[in-house]
Amino acid sequence: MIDVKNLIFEYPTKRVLHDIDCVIEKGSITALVGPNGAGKTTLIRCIVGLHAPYSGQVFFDGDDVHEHPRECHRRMAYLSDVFGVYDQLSVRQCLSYTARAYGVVSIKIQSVVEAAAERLGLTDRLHEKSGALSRGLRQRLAIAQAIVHEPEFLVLDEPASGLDPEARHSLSQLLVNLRGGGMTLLVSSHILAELEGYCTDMLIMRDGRIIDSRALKGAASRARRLRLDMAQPTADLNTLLEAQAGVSQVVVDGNVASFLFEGDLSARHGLLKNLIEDGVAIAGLSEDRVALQDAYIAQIHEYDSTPKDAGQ
Amino acid sequence: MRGNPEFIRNLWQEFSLHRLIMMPAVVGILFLLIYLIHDSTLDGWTAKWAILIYFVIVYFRGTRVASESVVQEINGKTWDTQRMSSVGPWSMAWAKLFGSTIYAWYGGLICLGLYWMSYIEIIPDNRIFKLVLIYIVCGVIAHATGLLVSMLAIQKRRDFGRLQITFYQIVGLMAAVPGLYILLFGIADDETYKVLVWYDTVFPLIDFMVVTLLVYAVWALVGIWRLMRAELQMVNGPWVWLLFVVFSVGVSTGVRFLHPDIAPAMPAISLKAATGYVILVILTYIILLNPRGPSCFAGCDGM
Repeated sequence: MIDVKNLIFEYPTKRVLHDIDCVIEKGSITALVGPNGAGKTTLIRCIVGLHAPYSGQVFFDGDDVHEHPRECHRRMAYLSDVFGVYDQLSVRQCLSYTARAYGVVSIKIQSVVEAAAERLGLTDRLHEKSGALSRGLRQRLAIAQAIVHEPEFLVLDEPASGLDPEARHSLSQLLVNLRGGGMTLLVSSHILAELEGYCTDMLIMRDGRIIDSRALKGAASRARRLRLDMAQPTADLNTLLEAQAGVSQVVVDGNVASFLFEGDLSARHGLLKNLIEDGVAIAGLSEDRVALQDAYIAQIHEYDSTPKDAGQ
Repeated sequence: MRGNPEFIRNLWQEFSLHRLIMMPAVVGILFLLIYLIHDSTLDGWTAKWAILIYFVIVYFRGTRVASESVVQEINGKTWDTQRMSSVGPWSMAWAKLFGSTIYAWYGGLICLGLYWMSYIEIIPDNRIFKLVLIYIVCGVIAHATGLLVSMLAIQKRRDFGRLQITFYQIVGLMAAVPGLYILLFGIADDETYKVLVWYDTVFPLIDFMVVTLLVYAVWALVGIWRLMRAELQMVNGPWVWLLFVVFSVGVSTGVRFLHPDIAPAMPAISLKAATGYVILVILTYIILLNPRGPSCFAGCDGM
């Protein structure tokens, strides 16, 4: 859906993006991660056509975003990390205004406004002034405004910042639902454990470069990293695990083993049964929630330890 | 107008029932006091007070809100949403200009009604009409200039305080000088000697002002439209700017003020050259202030 080619962006005194190439697949939720100052927001703003790059191109379903920004904007939406809503307007007016501004025909305004409010749990707040809403509700309103015209591609920059745990969970559910409805999402965030819950792909940025791009799950990759806790260490566990169907990338550390496993719940049950029969003292099996963070940190360290060209 | 979402949003924001009632109440009470102080008579004195209130509401307050209209979207973090919307540059331009100032115009039109009432027995209707038109067009030009300068500024920076907005407001107010001139020098009262020569043709000053102000109001709108195009990622070519420079030089170099029974005080050619030179210098300076100005020559496909 999105194809970024040789993208370079410069501020008057500094090059911020260095020859970026990346692809965002249709129907995916792609996490854009990286340390502060890596260039995530600049890349996002170039992708949605709000920043004109020094060179390079961004294609949205084959259309050059910077050649035809208006056409592309009708089908995409962007929510900045620091967003604003019109405080004097009611929630209904905010949504109605955005729907009109994004070209929704008059006859459909009411239905799309109510659908967006329903999705974000704002139905009972439609008559409240947006200035009177809490931070979490304002965030929901901002997301509702972003999706009210039902874009095909939604870009969220740090959407979970400032939200309480319950609101973050709701946000994760919403993003999964939006993807289920056919939307493609690009989400920039620092909260890697939460991204892992719903992202299918990951782009890692450092110093204005994409240093890693990988599929996490979804159609392309169904493998999940599992964590096996044991009551006591097992001799030759590495070999034992690698002999099991669907298991790869085994790492054993004392009483804990971590590995990638491709298979459904019954396959997972079969794996456990085999391991118990082989005498492994299993104390627990869970999805490894820190896998994304591990991958991220490993990539960052690898990049940092790689010698850089003097000119870069 | 009904379909412009940006204008509708401004209407929602500017007009509440409370504000709808407040403006006529305040203006009405003020004018009533002036009328009573002036022995319950309507004449040039009450007309000047009506226009003074108009100045405060439309020129001062209106120019302020027009100068803030885009800047506040940037400060309020709503500008990106607007830039990505389907609202075109022309719709966005006029909706910002007239939508943000709609409440000031609401008060201003009440004042102009009172002004007309005060002069109705004193000067002919067509003359009052021309004066009212000048005041309105000066208001539009002041608002448009404030908005124009603020839009030039957002190409360089994206954070704004009150001081910057005040500067844009002052620049806008300078464009309202013709209206102020009428108030201070009484063009309404005596026009015997108020004529000018434009390329050897004598025009009544008031007619010349009406026409040139209307034309410059259109140019100001064109300027906002083009800056809005740039904000909406569209490419502007240099031709409209060049046309404006040529037009401004053409208009200004043809103008001479003189009394009809006195010979021209100074040779027209030197006045033409001086005026043309000054205007060219000012306009060139303004285009140099605009970081996208020189680069616009690269994109000659757009107007």
